[in-house]
Amino acid sequence: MALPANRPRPAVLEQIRYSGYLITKNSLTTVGFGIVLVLLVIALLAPVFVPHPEHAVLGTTNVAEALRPPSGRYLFGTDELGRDLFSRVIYGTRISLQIGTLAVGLALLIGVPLGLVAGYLGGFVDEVIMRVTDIFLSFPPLLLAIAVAALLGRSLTNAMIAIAIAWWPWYTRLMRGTVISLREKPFVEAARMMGTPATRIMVRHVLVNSLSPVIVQASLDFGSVILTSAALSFLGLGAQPPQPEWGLILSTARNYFLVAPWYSFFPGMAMVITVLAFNLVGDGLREITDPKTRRL
Amino acid sequence: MFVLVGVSLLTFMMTVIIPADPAARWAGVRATAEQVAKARQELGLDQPLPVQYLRYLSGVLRGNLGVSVRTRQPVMVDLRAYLPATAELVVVGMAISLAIGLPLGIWSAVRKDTWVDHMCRAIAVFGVSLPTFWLAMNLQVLFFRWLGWFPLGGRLSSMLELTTTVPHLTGFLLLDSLVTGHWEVFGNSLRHLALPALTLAAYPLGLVAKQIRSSLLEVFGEDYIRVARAYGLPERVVTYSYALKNAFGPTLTVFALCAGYSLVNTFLIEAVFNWPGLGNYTAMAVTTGDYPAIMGITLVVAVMYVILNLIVDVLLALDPRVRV
Repeated sequence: MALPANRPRPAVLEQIRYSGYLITKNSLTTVGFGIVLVLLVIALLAPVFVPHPEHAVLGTTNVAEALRPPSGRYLFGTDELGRDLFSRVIYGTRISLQIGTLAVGLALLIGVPLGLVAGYLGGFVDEVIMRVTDIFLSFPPLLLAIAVAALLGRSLTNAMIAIAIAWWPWYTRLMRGTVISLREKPFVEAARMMGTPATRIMVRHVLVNSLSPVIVQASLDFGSVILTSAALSFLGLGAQPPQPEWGLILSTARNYFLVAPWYSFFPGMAMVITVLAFNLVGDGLREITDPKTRRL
Repeated sequence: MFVLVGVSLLTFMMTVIIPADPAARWAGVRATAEQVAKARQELGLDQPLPVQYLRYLSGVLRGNLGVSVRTRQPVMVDLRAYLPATAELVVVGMAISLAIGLPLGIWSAVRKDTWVDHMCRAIAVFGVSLPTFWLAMNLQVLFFRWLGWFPLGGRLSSMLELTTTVPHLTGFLLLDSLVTGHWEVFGNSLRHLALPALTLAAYPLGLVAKQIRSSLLEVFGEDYIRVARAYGLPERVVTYSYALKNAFGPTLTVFALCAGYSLVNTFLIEAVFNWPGLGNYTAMAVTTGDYPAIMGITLVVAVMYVILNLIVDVLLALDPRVRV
């Protein structure tokens, strides 16, 4: 089959077409992308189709209907305060995607510039940045996140900050490696010889060309970040009641799940599907961007 | 060495920048300003920061991690009491993950692109995507509530705990009861260990299987394997005596990473299974804002993690291909 890239077309359109072609090549990746898209739609449209939004966003309770098993009225059953679990789990999608985006985004915002500077400048600056990175990397990420979250105090925002603090060094290291391999490439040398200022070279030439491994890693991390934030909430360090965060729902479910298994089953299932989808997308992206494993 | 100093510096800095005042916590809620000032002096918080750090470091080197605000005991004493239960869980869990993960990965590589391979890869992806505490709760529903095969949680049945005393040798209940011949305790604690250890094994199992599969496949592509096959050596010999040896390196690294991860993962597992280990201690420290305890745990676990990685690096260096 002739590659679509052979035909003359506007460059951007062509790239999008080509990426679409690569993504749909692997069925598992397609499934992952599909699920992520559905999750996005669910998160955005949550208020539209959720039967009891008041159970999710406000502290409304309905004790008379406590711990009802799943039925036509309550698709996922109700919790100990009679709140509709379906509504809460759906709203939880919003929170989890938000946490994933913000925490990974913040980690990228710290890690990428540091890696860029360390890799491009080298020497003393590189030495200092990388030693600091090493120290952060010598903590297991979940442990660092727990410690920082515990010190900052309990809230969802602090949990996100804690996760970002535990995650940025990975991006710095990855970024630095890529930048070093690019630094001596002819196009960068050419830019240097033309007298382009270093900051401009770093941003316009090096940064844009070294982003793809970082993006792949970030999409893989999305799943683990969601798991970590749920773990923090589970320990009481993240979301606080009545927020419908999946980890927090599971944490309260701990007291009831033996008599009401649906209470823990559905939020957990939502989390598994989300994390699985992001892992599939990340794996797929890695396969596509790595020329060794790319199948055309 | 540098990394260890860095780790201690980072933990120290975290205690400095926390919003809460440790002196106020130490003195208690109803303390007067005077008492707080006295506490500050006692804790050495009136000294300049570098002095404080050096004092902290010299304390750490002598095994002094400070005093827990909650239990009013030295953190080190607490840790020593809680660590064996966690270590037991991690060791058994990691052993299970190897016992299942390795054969699974090897099988998957040998039968590449068959249904066996697809199934193994699916198990691996699931293992990595499952929230630990959710898996733990589901196992409880299945094996305790529905099947009744295993106990809900704890380390021993309360009946046994009250009636028998096993001499405290290593703190590993399994080992202690085995050595001293307390068979009932041994069996009982084994049953209690089953579910938490299985939960713990899920994540490393997936990663180990995935890694050994991809390393084996890589090795299978090398010339010496082609030669061995061309000589007509049975496939079993090629796989187990030729290929496997060279596929172990990366798996070992992944395994060490997993062990560090599992050490922290026990925090969640212990909370669900009410396992009296480090995780439960941490959870209590977190809920009561017991900063010295949190920092002590962080430091100890980070140091163990660093040492673990060092051991792996040394083991890998034994491979002549890695040696520089």
